[in-house]
Amino acid sequence: MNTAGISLDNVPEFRTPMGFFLLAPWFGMLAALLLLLYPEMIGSRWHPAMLATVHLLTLGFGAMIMMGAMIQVLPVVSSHPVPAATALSPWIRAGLVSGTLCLSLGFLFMQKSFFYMALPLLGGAFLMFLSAMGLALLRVKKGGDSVFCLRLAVLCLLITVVFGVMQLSTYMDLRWVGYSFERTNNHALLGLVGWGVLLIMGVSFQVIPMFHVAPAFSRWFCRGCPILLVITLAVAAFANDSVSSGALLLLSLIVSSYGVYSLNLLYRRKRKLKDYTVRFWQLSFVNLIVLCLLYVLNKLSVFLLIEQGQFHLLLGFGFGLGFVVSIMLGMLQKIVPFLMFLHLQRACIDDTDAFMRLPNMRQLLPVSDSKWQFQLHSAALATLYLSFFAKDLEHPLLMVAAVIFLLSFTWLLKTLWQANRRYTESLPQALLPNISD
Amino acid sequence: MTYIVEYMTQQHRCCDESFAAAEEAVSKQNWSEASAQMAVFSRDLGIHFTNEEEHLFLAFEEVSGNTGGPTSVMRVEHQQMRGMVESMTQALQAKDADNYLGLSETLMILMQQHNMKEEQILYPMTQQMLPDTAAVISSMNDL
Repeated sequence: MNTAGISLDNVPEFRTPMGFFLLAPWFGMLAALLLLLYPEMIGSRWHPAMLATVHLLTLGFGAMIMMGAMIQVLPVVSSHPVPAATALSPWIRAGLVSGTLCLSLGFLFMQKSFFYMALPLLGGAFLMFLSAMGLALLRVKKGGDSVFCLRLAVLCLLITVVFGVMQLSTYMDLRWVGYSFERTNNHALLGLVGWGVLLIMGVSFQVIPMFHVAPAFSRWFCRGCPILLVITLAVAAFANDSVSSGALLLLSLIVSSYGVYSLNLLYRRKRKLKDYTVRFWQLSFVNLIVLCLLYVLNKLSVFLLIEQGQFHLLLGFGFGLGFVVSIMLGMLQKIVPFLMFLHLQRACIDDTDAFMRLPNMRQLLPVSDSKWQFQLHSAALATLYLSFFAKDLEHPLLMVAAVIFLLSFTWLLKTLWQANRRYTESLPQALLPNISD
Repeated sequence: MTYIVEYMTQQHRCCDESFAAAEEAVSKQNWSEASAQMAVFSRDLGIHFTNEEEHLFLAFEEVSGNTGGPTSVMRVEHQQMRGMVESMTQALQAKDADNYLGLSETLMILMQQHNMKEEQILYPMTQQMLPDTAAVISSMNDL
């Protein structure tokens, strides 16, 4: 057997994932500001401010963190690094930041010139990321369940991006395809349920048993659930209306069963310490299950909202902020201080004194910071949900939710920034010019 | 038991149990229980590391002819973990729960990331390469 290609030490440089993590909160803050300034956006998913807010959250916050996390996670779960990750990352970040801003400004002011800038910038960023990630995933010969899930997630991201580019071109004078509402729905469905859920699933199969000493997900579930999800997703996206409707119902059952199973494993964990990452996981899975339940009730003609037209917005916001963002916030509380510690440890490996003086994870990112993050995010979510059910108070409540989300994302930035400062201060002086940038 | 993956993974899980029990006892400030569980954990971890460094890794290096590859990375990580266990033992003796829990949180992730690399890559590779896995297993100490 040739062992030459196997490396168990492929951790990318610290600045690579951290560069993504430090940029993301700014987009969350911008999205919250838009929600505060244009609360009327909640009236329609096609409102210009709504389109801008959604893309600030999904691209600027969500994709930014997911890309940084994937570049970090893949070498750990597969022992294969993402090719040229360090060289490509600044370009991917630059494309994603400028492209997301242009796209959001384009939606907000309906200015074609911004779309012309957004298309090559975002297209370029995703092309670089998907090429590097695709190559890395193809190189892994014996991938486990996580790699299997990540492959499917990246495939869904590719289709989401293609649909997004097609739709964006219809806002410009490129008349190679016509606008299609169905394509927008599929773009959102594949982005949220395909890329979002599959990526989270792949990571959770590894991380929940590992970090919390919980029982492992069963093998049949790890293979069966993603396959079933992708097939159902494909039917939901591409079949005719009645078949698609049935597939969406089945999809909500699959996704909620994943939520129930994960909650059960977390409940059976051996590590029973008070841990805000666990609380974020629990919050996100409860959100997921309740949203699936609401969807099924809606299909059975049980309508809970006063404004039924807002139902898909409730689902979208609940899924994005309640499920996906909650998990991201929880994971950041663990991954960031751990990576800092890992790199500090490597920097001090030959210096026993410096090694023994290293700050631990809780000193790098204090539990009190995670606690505030959890409380702010939970309060913002609760207020947001409440606004959907409060007839006359909808806009005031939405503005309150926006203020709390603004505080929550600002808190995240402050937490990451301070942790990064503690990390830099803890580096041995001789290494500062090489590692801290 | 003739399967390296199964045998060694079981040792990882065994260490996880006493690790979690010690951590929980510290969080409840139950220092006598914490010391007892920590003693079990550091003994088991020590035996497991010795099993790997003096038996499994040696056998792997002999067959593959590669001493600077995956096993050398694993040996470095063992050293890092030994250093952390030492710091945790000092925190336990000083009854410093905050410091202990900060260190144990860190060791937990370090250890699990290390275990994952061994369970998913190194052990299966060793299983496939060694001519007599039963002999290697019988040379190792049980926990």
